[in-house]
Amino acid sequence: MEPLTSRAQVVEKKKMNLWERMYLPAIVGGMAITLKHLFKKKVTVKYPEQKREFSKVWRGQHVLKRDDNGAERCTACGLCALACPAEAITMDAAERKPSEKNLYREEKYAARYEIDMLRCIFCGLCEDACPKEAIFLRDDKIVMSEFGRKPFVYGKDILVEPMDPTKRIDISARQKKTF
Amino acid sequence: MLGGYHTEYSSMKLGFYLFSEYINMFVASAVMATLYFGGYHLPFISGLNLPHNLIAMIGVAALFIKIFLFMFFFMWVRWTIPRFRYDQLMNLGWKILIPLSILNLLITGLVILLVK
Amino acid sequence: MVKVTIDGIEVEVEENTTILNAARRIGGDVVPPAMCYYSKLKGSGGKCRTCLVKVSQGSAKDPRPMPKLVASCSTMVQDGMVILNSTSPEVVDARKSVVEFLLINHPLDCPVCDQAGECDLQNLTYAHGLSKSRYEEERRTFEKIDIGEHIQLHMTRCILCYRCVYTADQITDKRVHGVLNRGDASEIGTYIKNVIENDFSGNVIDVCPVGALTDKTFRFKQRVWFSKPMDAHRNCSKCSGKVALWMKGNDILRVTGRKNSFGEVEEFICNECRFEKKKTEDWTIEGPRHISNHSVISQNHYENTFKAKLASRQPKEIYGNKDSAEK
Repeated sequence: MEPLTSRAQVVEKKKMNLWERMYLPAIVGGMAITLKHLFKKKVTVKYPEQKREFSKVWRGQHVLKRDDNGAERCTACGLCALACPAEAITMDAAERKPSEKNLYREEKYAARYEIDMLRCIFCGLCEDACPKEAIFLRDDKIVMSEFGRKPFVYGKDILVEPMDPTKRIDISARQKKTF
Repeated sequence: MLGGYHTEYSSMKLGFYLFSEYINMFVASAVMATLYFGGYHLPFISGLNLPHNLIAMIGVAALFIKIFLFMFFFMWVRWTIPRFRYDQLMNLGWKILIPLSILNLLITGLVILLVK
Repeated sequence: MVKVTIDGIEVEVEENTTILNAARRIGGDVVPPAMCYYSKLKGSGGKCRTCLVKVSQGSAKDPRPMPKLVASCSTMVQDGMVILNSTSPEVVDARKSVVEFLLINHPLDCPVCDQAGECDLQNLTYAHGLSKSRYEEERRTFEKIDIGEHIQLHMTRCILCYRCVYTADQITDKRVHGVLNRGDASEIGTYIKNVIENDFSGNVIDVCPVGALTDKTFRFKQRVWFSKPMDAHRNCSKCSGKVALWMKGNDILRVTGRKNSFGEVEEFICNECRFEKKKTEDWTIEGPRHISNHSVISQNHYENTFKAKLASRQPKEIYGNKDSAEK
């Protein structure tokens, strides 16, 4: 069979001679490597104080977007919950009252929308499934740690972006899907 | 891959475990430095005619430097081979290191006999 | 008896059978889709044109092909007829155009619509339609009409199949439901916005191929694919009482008739069963309904695999041939 890559190597397993069986030269060689690493630049960062830059394809905490008029885009169609491989999303739909037209874009809206962040695997399939461009995974925020399990069930109070136009969450990079 | 207590214990209890382990390491280093590496002696220091108090202080510093060098060696080995496969470790200990030390004993005895 | 060939499969049917029913006798991929024809409603069919087929040989006596595609739901078979359904590129192309026409005024509000997941038009579009709309004009809209506390009418979604009109005419005894206006402006209405009072009026929900008529008691409760269909029955003085329950956990979210593989209910059920009996105690549950694994509703629906697993795990007799083991 043709090898899949050019980097494939055939592993030989021949009997070791006395020098090799002593292990000591191999150990000394290994220790030289560790010593060399002691003087190299560190690859780790001091996390809470120092943060790495997120990539554009980073999939962090979810956000439920509003449209330009401030109405929620989500219509509780359930496709995100259907697409979710971890079954992390649950929702209840409700009918919009005539007075709530500025709050919700469609006649149906999500009265309850919960993502269990302990279940979520941040695969982004909900984002792909959404027909209303309502749910996106932010590239600037990760889900924080908590002391219990309850606070990991994020409701609409956390997920929906603020109505204030200055505090909107910018996901234009993800909307373009240029990557 | 893991020592049992590393996964079974957490917080202060694990802290005590690690604490005792490091004390053990320190004591072992101190014993080695004292018995085999001259303790607080430094070579050629007596020929310099320094004041006694200074020599004592240098001795204390020398002992601690030796201890820390041993501890560094311990840690260095740990970084390099965090888990030595047990059969290989046994091979190394019984079949390589013990014969080597016996050889060492013989050669040292031979040298002492011949030099005298 | 007459012999016809549909997509290369020969079938023998009685005279005066339509091509569609002959194809349904064979079943499977041979059956043309139908949006308006409903075998239980007299006079239905001939309106949506989705069941168009090509007749490449009229009959054994007159083997000339029919000049145009024909609606299979209203064309009778003749002996020796040769019919092409999905094997004819002409039919596939025509069906694609029909879907596009049906979608001209149909809103793309599937995320909101309660029918999504069990919608004939959705399935038809998925199978035959374009993925993008070419229609740029404004779609027709209607003022909302209240037609009673149990049934929700969304005129914007209506494709004017007339199934509900025939149901109201034939199942109920007085005519309370009909189509107003003509052509592009036609709409389903009730005379003087009458409340439908008949005991069987709820069946217009089941016959509706789209989400124009939906169950108000189920409105926005749950998406259909998150509920589990179960066969159930009860003693009902008005109807057979054989229904399909759509359950989530132990809650009955919705009651519908039992639909067969062609999307038609086996028996019409009464409004009491449909709208008022929403407690588990009201019903004797028979077991999960079979759902085609091509349907989104089949997600997390394990009836087939479960039975198969159970059969493969029947305990085998281990001690039975003890004698032979000792030999």
